[in-house]
Amino acid sequence: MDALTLKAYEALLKNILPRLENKLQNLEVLDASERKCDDECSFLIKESIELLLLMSKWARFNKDQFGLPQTVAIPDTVAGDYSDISDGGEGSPEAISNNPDPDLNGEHKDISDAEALRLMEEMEGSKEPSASKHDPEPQQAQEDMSDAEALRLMEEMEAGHSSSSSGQGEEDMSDDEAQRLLALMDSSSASAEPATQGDVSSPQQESSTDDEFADEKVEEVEEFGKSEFSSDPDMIRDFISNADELIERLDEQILALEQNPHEKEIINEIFRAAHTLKGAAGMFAFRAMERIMHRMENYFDQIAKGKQKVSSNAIDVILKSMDIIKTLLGGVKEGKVTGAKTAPIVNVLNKLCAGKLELQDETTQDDVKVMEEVSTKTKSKQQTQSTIRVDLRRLDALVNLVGELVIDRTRFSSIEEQLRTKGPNPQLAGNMTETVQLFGRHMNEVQDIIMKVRMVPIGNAFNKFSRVVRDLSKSLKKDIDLITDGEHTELDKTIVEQIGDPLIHLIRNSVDHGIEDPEARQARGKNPKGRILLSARQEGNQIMITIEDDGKGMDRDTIRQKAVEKGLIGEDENLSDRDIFNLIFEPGFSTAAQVTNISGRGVGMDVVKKQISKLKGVVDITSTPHVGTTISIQLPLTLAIVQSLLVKAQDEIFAIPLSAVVESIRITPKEIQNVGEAEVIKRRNRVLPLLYLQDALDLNQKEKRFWYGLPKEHDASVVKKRNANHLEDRLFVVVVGTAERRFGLVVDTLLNQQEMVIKSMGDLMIGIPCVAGGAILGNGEVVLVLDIGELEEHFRSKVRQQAA
Amino acid sequence: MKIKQADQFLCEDDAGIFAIRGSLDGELEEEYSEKEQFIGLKIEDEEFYLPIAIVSEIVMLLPITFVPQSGKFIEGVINLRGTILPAINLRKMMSLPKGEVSPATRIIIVRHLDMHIGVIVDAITYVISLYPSEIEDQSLPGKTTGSDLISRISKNGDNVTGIIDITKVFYTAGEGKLSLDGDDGASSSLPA
Repeated sequence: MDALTLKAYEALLKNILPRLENKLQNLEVLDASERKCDDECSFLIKESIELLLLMSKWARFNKDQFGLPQTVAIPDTVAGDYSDISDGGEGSPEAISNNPDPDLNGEHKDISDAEALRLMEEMEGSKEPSASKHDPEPQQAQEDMSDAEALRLMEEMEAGHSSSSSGQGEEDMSDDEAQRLLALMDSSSASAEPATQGDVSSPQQESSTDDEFADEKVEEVEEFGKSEFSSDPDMIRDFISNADELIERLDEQILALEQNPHEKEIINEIFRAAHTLKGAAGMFAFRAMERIMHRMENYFDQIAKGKQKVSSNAIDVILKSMDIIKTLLGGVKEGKVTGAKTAPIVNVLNKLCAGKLELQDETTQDDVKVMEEVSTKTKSKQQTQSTIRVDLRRLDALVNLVGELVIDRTRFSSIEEQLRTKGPNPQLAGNMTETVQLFGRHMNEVQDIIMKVRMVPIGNAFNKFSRVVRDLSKSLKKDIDLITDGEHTELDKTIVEQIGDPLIHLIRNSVDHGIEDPEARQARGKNPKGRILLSARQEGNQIMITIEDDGKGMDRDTIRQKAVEKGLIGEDENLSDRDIFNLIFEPGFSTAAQVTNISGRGVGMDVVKKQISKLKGVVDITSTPHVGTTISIQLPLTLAIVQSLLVKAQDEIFAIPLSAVVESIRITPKEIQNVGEAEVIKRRNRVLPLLYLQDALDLNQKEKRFWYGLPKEHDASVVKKRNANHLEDRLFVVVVGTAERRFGLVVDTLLNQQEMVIKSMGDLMIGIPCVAGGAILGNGEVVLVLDIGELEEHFRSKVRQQAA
Repeated sequence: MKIKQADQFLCEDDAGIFAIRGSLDGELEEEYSEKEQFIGLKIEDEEFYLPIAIVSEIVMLLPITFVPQSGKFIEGVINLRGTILPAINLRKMMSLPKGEVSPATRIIIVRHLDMHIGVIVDAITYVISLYPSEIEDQSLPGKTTGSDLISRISKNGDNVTGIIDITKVFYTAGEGKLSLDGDDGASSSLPA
């Protein structure tokens, strides 16, 4: 232990600080404007700070034991003759704590001079015995070590230290053991006793040289260590959101690295993220996570230094470790131990670091040069976004309040209208009108902004798909490119979060069922490499997401046959292609002859559809045999505020989301034609089935069931105005539905169009058919918002029932 | 128990004046913890108690929006200052016939777990404090006039008064909705 600290200390003095000094001297030559801290510099500074902190921590930790070393008595003990050390390296304590870097002054102050001195004293105590006995030429050994190695060693030690300081059982590590390790380090491993290795935790062992990495027996470590931070739920929450972001960034960058193995900027990015995550995990004593991140960091450090090359194998390993990290993070989120085995992956990572894992595609020295050139070009691209993290709950509260304000605004304008038309004071009413209009304009802006606040680019959801496609296509031995487009399209965060799962499912389907084997593709004269295009674009108030593959398409007849088998459709029912393809969204429908581990169990597509409907979206499929399948999903930009059309049926007002409304028309009863028992009208050469809203909702029940009706003050002026147009022999039809699947909803009257906030009506009211929720009108009245999707289903089942 | 006529509390509305009687416990601080307070309410002509702890407020009859195909006992939804709540028809739940909507009709907003609902009652009478000894755990047989909604009975004074168990009200309302949903959903999609 002591010897290790000594090593760390020496490396710091002999390697890091001189380099740093060198750097800083170079900096001073430059103009003030050009003077900035480059990556290496800040890395060095960071490392030295970390080392110093660790050493001081360690020293504090061992304060008690310090007076009584077991091996050799220290002469002159604490008297503190530290000239020895000052001679040993040029970095005196003063030099360390007065590091002249402007950026890091604050951090440097953390280590007081006094502490540094004390540290030095303590260092010295340990140096004497161990150095004299087992390490006759530590300086020699140290100088032989390359910079990179030294740095890595530093990190290793750091890991060892931090784990020991959190009580992993190494506190009692005797000097003997340290000496043994020291001996290992000096490659005299013959003296090491393998039997004692078990007592030492793995990070400790791995602090030996490169070669030892690979053969180490890595043991499982606890997922959660003790840490003063981990008891603070706020801190944990911060950690989780931070880690989520870092992991996402890592995933993204690792995949980018695979595409672009020479991009130094990417490597640095990964390294930084891995380092941050490791540090955070260490702070909370999430040991297992820290350990993996630490190895990954090592590996990327080596890549950054050009000592290792990026290979597809390595990426596999890294991705796998990311998976484990995610599992572990899941455990942190739920606050329980996941029991994930980390030792195997740590082993593999160790091998990777040692360069013992076979690499497939070697890159040459020239590539490294290219890499450096590229890196200088891309450096300027790096720009920090000025953002602020806000608790989502606060944001939601704000969004809700703005929703309330929107309601208030409508209320204001109805009061204003009454004032204007009936009020005794036209002057005052005029003022009111003006104010209300201004208020309305400001409200619109506020609403716009608040909606944008919740918007995030859909790219966040897209990013994980490249990984999915990559893994799947590998396991299926298919060659597939995932092309994404429109990642910058923004939509509500909740939607982005919830659309991920359905999208993954659809993409899996495309990979598994859609794209053929390379051989089959070649036979068809297609490019053996399959292609899946995932794109998003905004269309008015909607977002269109399409998943397009160039695979074999869907077999109309198979689906039809399956549907008939399952009794979903009649034997001789004539359905359009589109209707047939959409049958796959029915529960329990699967055409896969064989259930694979990826898809084909027949659960899924209905879940996909349900999920999308829950987000008030619409999903549609088109497919051409041997050309491909396109699935398009239409989603609203936001869920909070909905433009709605108010209609009246049987004296009840209902709101229809405008997104579902195609048009509203007026027809005479003569136009209605009967097809069997169904009523349809022909409009623009299309047959439009009709559905009476009062029938669909059983509004006739109201008489019997509704006892406490108070006379409602409907917005009289509006109703009257509309009623004047409403001729007795005319019917209002609201054409609703998606592009191809439309039907006409017959209502008594059309009222106005309004923005409204859909609210839940409480748990007791969940699951009421055809009702999506409630909304409050300007006059305080509650109206029900219709769920057009459910109405349509209702309608279709009715049609099917009639057909049967 | 002493029910004081003294603390007269006037509810002002054009409909009439309701007295809230009973000891409001202002001066009985040390006894407070032992006692449980109840709100007296009237359905038809019978009086019931409702524990005050679950009552958030009492409002006049608000405009109720009819919700088609909802649970049998759910009268509709109301707007309580921006929050939409279901309103329960207690008369229907007690198998009583439709009565006149009077100016005394009130909606008691009660909370159970995290849910809030409104319960429509014919009138509010007064607030009363009862000692545990004056309450008896007792479920009643029979299906009429709300006896199945009662799990405790006050035997204060000469009168015996049922205390409405709000859990049962929720259960009945929810259950009604669930069973109805199944039937209604299927049957309403069938009509030829």
